[in-house]
Amino acid sequence: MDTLLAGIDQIKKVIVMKEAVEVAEAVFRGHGEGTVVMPPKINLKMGENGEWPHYWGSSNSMPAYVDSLEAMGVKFASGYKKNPEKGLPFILATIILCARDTGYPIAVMDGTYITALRTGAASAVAAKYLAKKNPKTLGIIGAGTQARMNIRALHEVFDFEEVKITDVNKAYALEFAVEMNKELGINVKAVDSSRQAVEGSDIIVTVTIADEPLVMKEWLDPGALVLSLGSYQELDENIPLKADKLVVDDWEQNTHRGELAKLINAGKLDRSMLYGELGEIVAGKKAGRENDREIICACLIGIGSLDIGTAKYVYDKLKDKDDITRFKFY
Amino acid sequence: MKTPETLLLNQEQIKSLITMKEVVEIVDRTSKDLGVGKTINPTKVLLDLGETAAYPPYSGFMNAMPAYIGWEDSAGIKWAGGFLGERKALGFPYITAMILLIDPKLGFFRAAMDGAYITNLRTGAQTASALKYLVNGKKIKLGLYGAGMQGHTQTEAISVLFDIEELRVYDVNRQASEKFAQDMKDVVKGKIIIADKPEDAAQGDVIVCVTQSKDKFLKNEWIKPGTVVFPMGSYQECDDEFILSADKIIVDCIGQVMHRGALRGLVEEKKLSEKNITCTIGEMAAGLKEERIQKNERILCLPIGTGAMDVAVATAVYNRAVEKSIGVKFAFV
Repeated sequence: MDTLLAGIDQIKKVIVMKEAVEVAEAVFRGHGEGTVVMPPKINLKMGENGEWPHYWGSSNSMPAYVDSLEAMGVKFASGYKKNPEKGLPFILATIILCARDTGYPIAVMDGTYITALRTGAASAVAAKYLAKKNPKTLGIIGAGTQARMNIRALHEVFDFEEVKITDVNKAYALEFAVEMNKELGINVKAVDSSRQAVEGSDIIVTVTIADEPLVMKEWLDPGALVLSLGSYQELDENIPLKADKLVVDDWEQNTHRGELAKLINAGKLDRSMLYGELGEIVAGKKAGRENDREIICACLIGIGSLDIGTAKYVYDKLKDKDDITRFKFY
Repeated sequence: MKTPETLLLNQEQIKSLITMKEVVEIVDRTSKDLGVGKTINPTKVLLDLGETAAYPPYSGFMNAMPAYIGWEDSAGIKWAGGFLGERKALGFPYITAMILLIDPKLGFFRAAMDGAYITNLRTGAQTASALKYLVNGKKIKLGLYGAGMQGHTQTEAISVLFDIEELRVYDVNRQASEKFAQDMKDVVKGKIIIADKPEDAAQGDVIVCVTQSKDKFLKNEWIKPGTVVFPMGSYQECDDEFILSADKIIVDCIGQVMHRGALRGLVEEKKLSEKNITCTIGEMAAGLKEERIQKNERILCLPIGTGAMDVAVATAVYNRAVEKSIGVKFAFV
């Protein structure tokens, strides 16, 4: 026995966004059906907010078992806030995949690309069940890697007439618009403010590292779906608190980080106000959107099961190839 | 800046790069660091794959154990578990483990290596390091339950810091005890006695249990005053009476011992809580607490295993491999 090694280039060759969305949907269904085992991720803080040891970083360890893909493993993913200003990636991640019945490490692979891919894919799955019928306008706040993955994923599910992108750095938004317009052949335009990106949009995605409200409740039209993907708080608290439906990927994990953690800690939000987890909706245990007027807020903090499921899908496509590197750890 | 490649190390290479003596020193240094808060070790997270859970049915578990090590300025994770069933059928040892190291400043993926060998070494080293602060003098008599791999490494590690004047070993499989006695005859200064009955091994200054037992075989009445007991197995090796009547309970990580190992059952029954923990090994190592054993005392010591020890040892292995240009590199990004 040995261990397959897969770098970002090998991974990119064997999975496209359409497949990532299918995998994510299967993983969410597994959550709803009780065939995914996923303990809460643990966070190793290395001065996430500047405290000792002052590295402005933290790492999450995210183990999971996904039955439908026969997948078991862990993602070790780090976020370094000051990396982007050094021209380095904010997120760095590695995945170890193991045989589910023996624990043998069957693969060690880059987790950075899979993280980006599955984050977009999770949005697409959420939107498939929670957006109004035939959404025409998409507004995205934050023009980084995650925004690109989100537009690619949502484009697999819907035909948008217009996509609006905004970023605190206008140049990033402009660059995004040109690039995505060319890649996807859809009308993408950079706008000056979050408000412009939000107003009139059927789906709003926030993918920033901001920790302040960027989207106000009163800007939302009836029927809007707001997808909050950050690790911090990006929405007016009235959106999660007063939305017709509040949906999360995993309640437990949302209590620790992200959009809802502060509200939960402040006693403003508790589980009784949650409509459901996305897995329950995908598995058909709860209805998704029920009419075109509901405002729905979905907080997708990111769950390790998506990484492990996606990694296993990638592994299955790579394992019989001849030009792949293998290493025998033991 | 170009992303550096990742160094890969296998078990054989790791064996050639580190000795038990060095592991004992690293574990002791890391213990001190933990005691003064210069190493970060979040409570490990368990993925139960049928070890105790009803689903899924794989008779195994995996733990994710991340840590940041201050004195080495290194971070990483051990991903380790144990499996019966299919793994046993394939002839693999119970424990499977991998360790990943990252650059703590920027997050780059520095190394991936086997973690099982390091786990075995550091588990022994943890006992030795704890004993340094618990017993008087350099000579000890040892009672050992479990003559397998862990039995060997426990004995080797203890022998780094102590002269073992006598060792009594008990294993349900007598042949394992006989092999152990043969293997360890140069490590143990004094006599190795193979115990026929479990109670015959419960003599000495220190009792170490490294078994897979779940049936609380070590009885309260066997344990005399002046003894330090290490139940190192993942399950239940001591009877409840001993745990509840021990004069001191000393652990490596308070959060962890509440959920796993010897104390778990009693914690769940609410007969024991964090309040019953005397101190951590790190606090003793750092000189913040002095809990050396008295003649009339019985001490229960539980170094259940922290990711910090694994990451610390792995970092030393990595540093040495870089120095000696051992291992192959792979570009993950």
